[in-house]
Amino acid sequence: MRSIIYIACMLIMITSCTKKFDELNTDPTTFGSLTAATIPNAFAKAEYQGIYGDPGIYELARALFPDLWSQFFANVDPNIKSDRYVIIQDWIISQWSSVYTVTWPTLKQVLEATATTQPEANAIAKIWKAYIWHYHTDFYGPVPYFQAGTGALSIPYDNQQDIYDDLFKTLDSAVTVLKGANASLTPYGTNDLIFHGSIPLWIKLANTLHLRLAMRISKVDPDRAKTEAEKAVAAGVMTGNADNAFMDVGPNSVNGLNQMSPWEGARMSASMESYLKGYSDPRMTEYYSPAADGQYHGVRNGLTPAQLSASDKNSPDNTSNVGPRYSLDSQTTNKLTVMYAA
Amino acid sequence: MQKRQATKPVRARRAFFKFLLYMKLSVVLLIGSLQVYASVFSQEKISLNLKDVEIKKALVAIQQVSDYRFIYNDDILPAGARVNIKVHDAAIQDVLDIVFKSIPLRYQIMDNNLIVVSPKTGPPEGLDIKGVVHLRNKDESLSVAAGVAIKELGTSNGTTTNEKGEFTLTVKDGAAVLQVSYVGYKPMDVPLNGGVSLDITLELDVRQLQDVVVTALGITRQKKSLTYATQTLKGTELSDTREVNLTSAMNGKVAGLTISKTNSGPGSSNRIIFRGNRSITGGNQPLIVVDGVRIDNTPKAFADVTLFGTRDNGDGISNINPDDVESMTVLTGASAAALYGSDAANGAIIITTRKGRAGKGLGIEIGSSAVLESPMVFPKLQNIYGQGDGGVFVASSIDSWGPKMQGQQVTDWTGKSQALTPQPDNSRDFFRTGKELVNSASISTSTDRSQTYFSFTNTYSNGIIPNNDYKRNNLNLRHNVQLDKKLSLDLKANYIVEDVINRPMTGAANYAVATIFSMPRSLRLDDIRNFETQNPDGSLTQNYWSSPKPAFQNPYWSAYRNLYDRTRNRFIGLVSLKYQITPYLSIQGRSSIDYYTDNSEEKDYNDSYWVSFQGLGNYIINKESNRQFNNDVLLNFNKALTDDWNLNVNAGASIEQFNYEGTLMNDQGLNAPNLFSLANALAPISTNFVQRTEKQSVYAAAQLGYRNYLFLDVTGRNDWNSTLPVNNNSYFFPSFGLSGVLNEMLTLPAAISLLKVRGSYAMVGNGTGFNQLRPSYTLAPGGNGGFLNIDRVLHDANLKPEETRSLELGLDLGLFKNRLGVEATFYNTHTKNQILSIGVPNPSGYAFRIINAGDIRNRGLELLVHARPVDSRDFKWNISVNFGLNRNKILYLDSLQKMPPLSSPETLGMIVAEEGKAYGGIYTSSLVRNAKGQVVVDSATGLPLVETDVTKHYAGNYNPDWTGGIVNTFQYKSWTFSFQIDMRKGGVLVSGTQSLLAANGSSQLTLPNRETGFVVPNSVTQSGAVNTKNVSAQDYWMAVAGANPVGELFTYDATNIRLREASLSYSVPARWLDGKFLKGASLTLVGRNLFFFKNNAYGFDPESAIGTGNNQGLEYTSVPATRNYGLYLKLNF
Repeated sequence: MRSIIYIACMLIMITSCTKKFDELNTDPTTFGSLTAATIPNAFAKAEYQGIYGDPGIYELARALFPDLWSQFFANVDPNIKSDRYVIIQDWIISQWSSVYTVTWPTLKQVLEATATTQPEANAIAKIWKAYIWHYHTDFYGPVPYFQAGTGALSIPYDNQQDIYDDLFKTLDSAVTVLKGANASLTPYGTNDLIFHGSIPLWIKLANTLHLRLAMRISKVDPDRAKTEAEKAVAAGVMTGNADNAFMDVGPNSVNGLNQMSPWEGARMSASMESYLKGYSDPRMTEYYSPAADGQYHGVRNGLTPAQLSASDKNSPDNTSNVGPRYSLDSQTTNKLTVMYAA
Repeated sequence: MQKRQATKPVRARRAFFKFLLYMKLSVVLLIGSLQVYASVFSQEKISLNLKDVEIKKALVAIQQVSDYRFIYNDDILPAGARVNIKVHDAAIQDVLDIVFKSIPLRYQIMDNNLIVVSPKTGPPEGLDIKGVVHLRNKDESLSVAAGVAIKELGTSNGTTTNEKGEFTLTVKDGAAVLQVSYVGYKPMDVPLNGGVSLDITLELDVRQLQDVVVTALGITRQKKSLTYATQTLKGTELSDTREVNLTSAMNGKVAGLTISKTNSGPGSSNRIIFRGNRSITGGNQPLIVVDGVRIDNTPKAFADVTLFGTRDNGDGISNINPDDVESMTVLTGASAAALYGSDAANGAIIITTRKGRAGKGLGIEIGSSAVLESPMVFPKLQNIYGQGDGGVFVASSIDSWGPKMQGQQVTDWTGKSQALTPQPDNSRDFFRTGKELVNSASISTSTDRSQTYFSFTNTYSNGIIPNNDYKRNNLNLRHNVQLDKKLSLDLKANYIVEDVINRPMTGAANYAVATIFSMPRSLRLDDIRNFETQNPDGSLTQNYWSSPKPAFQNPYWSAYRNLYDRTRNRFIGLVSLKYQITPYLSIQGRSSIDYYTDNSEEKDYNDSYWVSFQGLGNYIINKESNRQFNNDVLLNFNKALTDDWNLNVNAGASIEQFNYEGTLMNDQGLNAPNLFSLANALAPISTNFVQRTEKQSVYAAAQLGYRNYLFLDVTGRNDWNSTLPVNNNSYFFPSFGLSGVLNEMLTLPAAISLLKVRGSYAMVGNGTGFNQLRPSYTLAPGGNGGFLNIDRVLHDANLKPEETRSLELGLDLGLFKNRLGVEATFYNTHTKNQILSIGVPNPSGYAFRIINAGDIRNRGLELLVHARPVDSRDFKWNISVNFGLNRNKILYLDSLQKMPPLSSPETLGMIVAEEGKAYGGIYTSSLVRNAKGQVVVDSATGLPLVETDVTKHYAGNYNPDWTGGIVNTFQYKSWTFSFQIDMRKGGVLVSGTQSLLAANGSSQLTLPNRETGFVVPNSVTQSGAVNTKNVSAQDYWMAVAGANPVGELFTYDATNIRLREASLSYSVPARWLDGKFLKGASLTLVGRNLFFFKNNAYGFDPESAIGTGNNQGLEYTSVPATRNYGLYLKLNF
């Protein structure tokens, strides 16, 4: 019987080895850094996250604020206070955290990983960088930009002039690289959810974005705007629907607007109703669906709960939801819009 | 240690009072008889070679080579008598027979290795008597035992009982008095009164049983030698309450314990906190040890529980069958747990399960109980205004802002024309009466050498939410066997199957409760019961009164069409071998495993509103396995160094390995409606998870005792922890303790029966979780070839171990023969180098970072008072009072961040750790006020301006100021009545339920000025002008409550006093059953959580929690706390 105890002791002695602790403490289902093989997957993530494709983020970062405040939609759910200009901190933070903790650090790592080895992929990532930041800085104004994502815990805000200047330069350098590249290359392949690596299309998107940036500073810096706009047009912007930039969606990366169409109470705003009806705009049937009476009805933005409930005309059924292409059934096929030639 | 207890006082006394030897012998016998088990197998072989030595020298020589001690008066040793002894490996009897062969003395070997030497005054005219001794057990049943000491009063003449409890003895005459004693039972003097055949029954001495405490590593120690506070609960105190979760029964019985419940039906988790929170973002719950086996108590719920809530998948300890528990020792402090290492930094709960008792033969116990459950508290709902908005009836509204319900005919959501009338019970009637049926049977058998205990328990429970059921079967086998004189084996196998059907979610995700509380006050439950319509294509359409909402749906649909079944199969096994090398040295090897699998299956039918793949339903399968595998060796040395000094050393080494694997398969929508199969997946994703940690340790504990009244404890432990960086993975932590039993050291007034002072200082180190040192990049489905998700956490590859330093001082006082007892403990704990995950400014590129930081101080007081005001044979009254007070302060947190949130920020409430304040502060959104404290309103709308920045308003702290409980037990003959009152003082809770009900007009809060509207009281406009603008009640409440509530307005004091427990039990008197097949029977009426004497919360139980993490103090549509009452029948054969 002594032997049993000796065996027990031996067992403890044999396994008493801490050398394997490091290996033991490593998760085999994950990896510790960006590997060369997964750069395209990281870029795909940066693209999808970059336009708030994820339904949860789409709702909080876009549908509940910009979509209402730009009056594309109004909301008939009395509990959605953001339509009454109430800032809901735990919703609106999604815009901020999505850019700073997911989109930008992911893209930044792609930029760093491709900087020396894959100039074309790097250039495309730079164009996407300009795309996500122009939206972000136009949303907030001055934001932390130059040092964002460095891991420093105290990061200064940068003024919008400097950010715009850097975005112009970034686009310039990207276009320069791509123009000199072999046009048959397809960086990221189909993991580029927008153009599947088509360099000519990316060049057009870059120039069109360049033009948009120029137009946005046309009131504050007309001279620079003129120079940049002319440069962009000369370099070749999108000119037809074939140049349009859409982003692929799929079963696990759906179109957020489609998915949320039955949620909450986003309906055509009275402003959109006025424009579309007033100009007999044919896009009405694409953007919105008829209400229960077969007609298109909008609702005013900013109504109080009592005002909303005062008339049955404001009920979800009697106002226009999004158009058929944004139905739940099409959530895995209705591509996300990045930029139109129009 | 046990032997010292017997020999030391006696031998010390002998030196001073030699002539009183014979009188003192009774004491020897009395105390010595307490040592029965320790010595039964400690008989040893003796080798001696003595030539022509004096008797006295021969006895001394025997003492030197053996563990036996002689007790005699020098005067009786015959002068000049000499003896020759030459023996090899002889039994002690053989040696003694040689010594005593030729002298007029006799010897008697007592069970405690004492040998009593007395003159051969054999009773020529003596009286032969015989008898049997019964022992009355706790359950009033009778049993027998070998080794009960019988002594003739005033003489050294005595014997012990055999296995059948029988004894024979020759006494002087019929006037003799017998002293009968046995460990754990009250000693008794029995006058013969001429009788020669006796039947004696010893009563249980409850106080004495409690004096032995199971401490760390399963080491049993005398309570008086401990240098730190412990509290022991008997198994029956826990099991008699008929709680399904063992820890629920501890509530209010342990000083310094705070429990909060997740209220997610039967089998839900409890959060157990001793002495306050120490870790900011890590676990604060104690270690659970069952029979020396640490079991996994990981809460199976997501850590960061937001208002949305979580699926509480139960904890580990709730699997333990309360009926199998013999006793539970609670070690509330760090010093108590110094030997268990890091996992016990928050204290430990040590559970000893039942095993067969030596010498008790065959025993069978059958228990059966039925307990009913109904909601104890309910939100306060109005019954005046019906469905609608703005005072108008709206058939599709989710609100009760409609018109006065006056029986007017309306066409409602069902399409029928019905009278608009109040439905006061439409919410309450949704809940059913819960049932808990527990049936158990146990068999124990024993012989001298082996004890076997087997039990089976079936627990079946229906929750108060329809379709929520709980089933558990526990099989427990325990076998202890003495393989030979020195080798003993302890085997345990425990198999548990738990099946929880449709465990409700906590928080807002519990759509059934959220909807049933908030639905319009005029809806008829009978209309709602018809919850679905079948479509021609086989799909279902939910019947709901409004357009689909992501937060609400038909509650019956939630109950019957969102199904979740989780089954746990758990095996806990233990093999322990102990080898007694010499009487004072033993070695023990132990191997234990706690292995369980959790398989869950979620089925959501099409048209479930909140499932992302709306309209398509979903199917999710989750399989997890958990393995805790521990091996340890422990060497025990226990020896009296001299007459006064005793040394007890335990040294050991252990390996603890934890392994977790999980696989999650999510269909993300179904192609064909309501066909729940992985092959029918719309966009399947599957993920697997791995966690594995290992800890290797060496440790030693030494206790030096002086005269059994002064004790010094020193322990040391070194851990090697796989979760820490290679360079920092080894850490050492010592502890020191000192205790003195003053009443044995000094001469104190007779009223003081115990006065003990104790103090200890301990350090405990701790590691962190699995894979925390490097980033984790993962791949996930998405896009055209998968997405790469980067890590949003900034890791520190050079983390240091956490360190807790704890000082505690205590005083134990017993007065009037321990009829009144007080145990008081003061403690002061610092936790430093905490491994925290805190939110960081996002522009860094990270959402969180892991740091070593912080110094959290907890100081507090624990008080226990026991009293027996009445203690007569027929009537007994026991009072037990406990009190715990903890003061927490975060002294230092981090150089950069002084107030990181502990939870996702939410306007209702954000829980923070803030430097300079107590852990668990709650900040909420608030009303904007001017310098005079007046509410500022928007001049255009007249509605209050809301400060949505949640860092501006401090609402309070969720921790109680103090907790206390009083247990009164009255025993009159066979009747026992007991009740327990608990109190929790202070702490705040923010109620999301109240804000929800206020926003949709169903709460009573919304009644004032319903029809007239009102001007916000004491308000001014932004410009400072007096506000005169009238607002409607609906506009006001929707502005301050609802989806984004002003937490300030829904903050409640968590103070409450409740009748936690009351029970009345009747035990059939043993004398009625004497000798019959049935040995004991009892019937108990039990009630739990009966009512509040005081509850400052508005319509909910302030013990409710959304989860068991550190994110406490928020409540949202939790299942109502329940009141339980039932019947418990127990039979012993």
